[in-house]
Amino acid sequence: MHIPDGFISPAVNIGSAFLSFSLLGYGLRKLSLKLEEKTIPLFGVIAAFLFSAQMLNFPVAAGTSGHFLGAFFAGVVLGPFNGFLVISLVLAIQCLGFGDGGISVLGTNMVNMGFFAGIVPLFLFNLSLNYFKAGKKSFLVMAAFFAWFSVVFSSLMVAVELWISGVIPLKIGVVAMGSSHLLIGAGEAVITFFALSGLFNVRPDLVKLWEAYYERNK
Amino acid sequence: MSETNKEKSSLPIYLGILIISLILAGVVSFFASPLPDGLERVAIEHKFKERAQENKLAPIPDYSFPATDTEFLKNGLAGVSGTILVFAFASGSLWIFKKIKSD
Repeated sequence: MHIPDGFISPAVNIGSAFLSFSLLGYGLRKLSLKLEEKTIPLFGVIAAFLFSAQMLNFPVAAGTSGHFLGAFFAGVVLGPFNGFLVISLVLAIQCLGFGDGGISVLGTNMVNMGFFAGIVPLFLFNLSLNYFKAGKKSFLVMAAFFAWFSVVFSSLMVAVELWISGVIPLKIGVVAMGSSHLLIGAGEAVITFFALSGLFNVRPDLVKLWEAYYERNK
Repeated sequence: MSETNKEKSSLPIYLGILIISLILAGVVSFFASPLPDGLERVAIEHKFKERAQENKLAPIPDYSFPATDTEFLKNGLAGVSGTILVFAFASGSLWIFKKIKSD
């Protein structure tokens, strides 16, 4: 879902650059209040995991591939705004170092993959956790569902941006982006489920949203 | 949070995730699907792919390490260097951020 330069109009790119910088600033400020030195490497390894897992394109139907996005996963482990910081760093390095995603469109890519596929579904996930009194198992299943949702929702937002930029009619874009990402999202759900249950097996205390939820409901 | 977990060192799990990431990026990614991704496919089918401008500034374009001719190494070295770079930037910048904030 890394958009190259040339697809998105300057107005959309400027607007989303503003939004992404605000979110980065807010995230850093929030983090500065309670960053512990011993959790710094966790940010590093989660970022490294996102970068590597994003290289693993898997085939879905009709000559299309998809790959793990991981913004939602990073947010579940580190907290929504910390997840935004991590996915943004990964996107910046992919863009500047590897030519994956355009430079003028970096802010839009951060908004799509960090906000629409990260902060928004993480907020909805947190809301529904409180409705369902989740144990570890239902926490995992719900996380998998919202991981799927994160990919589908952000792909639809890309269709909207392409439409605003005058590239493709809204209906056609929504159907085309949505249909392929229904399947790519399934991959996101599976990987998120197994990565989170792997962490649960060794160190559930490292999964921030689970810890926060557990503390609230003790 | 149980006390036993609090006292456990986090180093093994951090190293574990890092090593898994290096293997995924350095070796497994060679076998990844070369098919266009969701957005690229839509761009091809709806004829706006030609609008894309190549990002020419990148030192390792398209995850293909320039200093070798072997495809496996081109891909693997790109993956390994990216994974290390991302890890170093994320933890390094936060460490500096923490130092500045605590001064």
